[in-house]
Amino acid sequence: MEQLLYDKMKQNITYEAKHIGFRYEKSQVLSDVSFRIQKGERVAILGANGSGKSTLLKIFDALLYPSHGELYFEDSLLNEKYFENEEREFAFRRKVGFVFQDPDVQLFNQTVWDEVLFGPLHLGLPESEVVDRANWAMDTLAISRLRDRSPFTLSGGEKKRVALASILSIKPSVWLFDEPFAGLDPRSQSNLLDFMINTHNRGETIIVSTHDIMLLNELADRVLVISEDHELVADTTPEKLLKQKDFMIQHNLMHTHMHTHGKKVHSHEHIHK
Amino acid sequence: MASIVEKNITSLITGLAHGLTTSTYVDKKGILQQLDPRTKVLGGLSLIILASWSHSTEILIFLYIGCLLLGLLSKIPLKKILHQWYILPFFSLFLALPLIFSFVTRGHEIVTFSYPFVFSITSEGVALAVRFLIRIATTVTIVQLVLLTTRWDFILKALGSIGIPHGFLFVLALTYRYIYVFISSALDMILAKKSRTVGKEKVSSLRSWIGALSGSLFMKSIVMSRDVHEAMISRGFTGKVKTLKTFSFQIADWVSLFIILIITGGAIVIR
Repeated sequence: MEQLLYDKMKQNITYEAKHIGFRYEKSQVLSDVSFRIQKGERVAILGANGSGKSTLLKIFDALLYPSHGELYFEDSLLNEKYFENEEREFAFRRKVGFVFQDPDVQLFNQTVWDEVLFGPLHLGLPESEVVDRANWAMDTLAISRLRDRSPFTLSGGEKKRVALASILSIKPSVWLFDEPFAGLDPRSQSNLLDFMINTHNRGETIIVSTHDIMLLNELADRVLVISEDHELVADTTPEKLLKQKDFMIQHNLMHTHMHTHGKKVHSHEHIHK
Repeated sequence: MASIVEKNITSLITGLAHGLTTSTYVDKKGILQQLDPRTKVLGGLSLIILASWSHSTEILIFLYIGCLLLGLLSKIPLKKILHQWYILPFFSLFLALPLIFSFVTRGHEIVTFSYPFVFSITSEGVALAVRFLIRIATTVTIVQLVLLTTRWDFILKALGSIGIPHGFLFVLALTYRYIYVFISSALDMILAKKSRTVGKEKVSSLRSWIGALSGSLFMKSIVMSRDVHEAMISRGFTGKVKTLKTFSFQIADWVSLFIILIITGGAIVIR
């Protein structure tokens, strides 16, 4: 019975990190991190600037490999050897979509249309399906009118939507978002949040790196906190985390703010945005 | 002075960005737009080799005028093609200029100077310099015509189909994707500097700033090229360029290749 439960749980695991760390040249960017992420979960990776959140997302997308430890994706160990087989790489990239923080980096085609069909086309899908998916993704994100525009000429919010459509057309089951709300105006933020909620409602796994705790409750059901020493220091729920003000101040997610009211000096916690 | 230099840098950078990313002429119904990308790449390469190899001024002028006509027939304004003459002297005039003097090219003296030492301009030297400039202009025009009338991904796919290694194409694709990000970053840096500059600036300080700008851009470029590379890999790019369009040779392609063959053969016979 126990074995059956264990097997069942194993089937539902998307990522399993076993003591993974990453060194870049001489500096440690991530240190001895272990956790499991289940299928369909919404996980926020929280940490101050430079804590290693983006590196962790890149490891999830197999753009980087851990310097030590092991990372499993649906039971497969992700390493260079695994990706020597092109079919395996394509299968992985069809399942995992990465929305980069800076859409300018992500958008590199001549037109929005080319951008949206780039993923499915290069992942070896049949041409008719590539076109159907691209049309569907553009309709879903309401960017059909931008079809022949160059991505470089779009506004920040439009670029973000094109970046999302370019991943949506791949139809991944796992979404990785790196600081998705950075530089967006309130309406674009709200649209993106709606998109993420709808994506989660379809049963897809969402992993978001952020240092913004304002939207944490709406964004995730689980939070992994990475310290400035690049270690995993909490694996909890947003509600529990938001109650631990001292902990958040300690890990630079919030800071104490002092100001004066007339002659009275007043201090309170202040969200670090 | 400072604003003129700044203006020139900015216009050079934006011009480069526009030139590399524009698709204005790709969909026009011109003669080159009708051809298969492989024909344009193969034909273009043959004509570039011919222009580099030919020592005849007449053949080079014939090729250059032919390219201008081809541009017009492909609905590209003459002004756009001749725009190269704004940039061309920067790169080639310094190389071409010494050729006209007697201490580099001996021959019939046209003008003689006696200061700081005795030297002259020779007619053979002038002919050599003119030939050099026309050769460069012809080569640049051929590349320009292919780039302006063909989508970039089609060019890469065509290069792949004529046997250019994937590793080389990968670097080429990455460079193209990354150049716009690089240019935006350069423009941002110019703007950031401008916002912190009050009053007239000395040329010497501007010069040192341009040096610093180049240095920081180089450092930034390493990080940015890595990011662009990762974004491409993340969506399944392995170096093999894929497009929805299937290439197919039509009669016009065979005729074009035949004409290029005749021109090349004719040039060899004349030589």
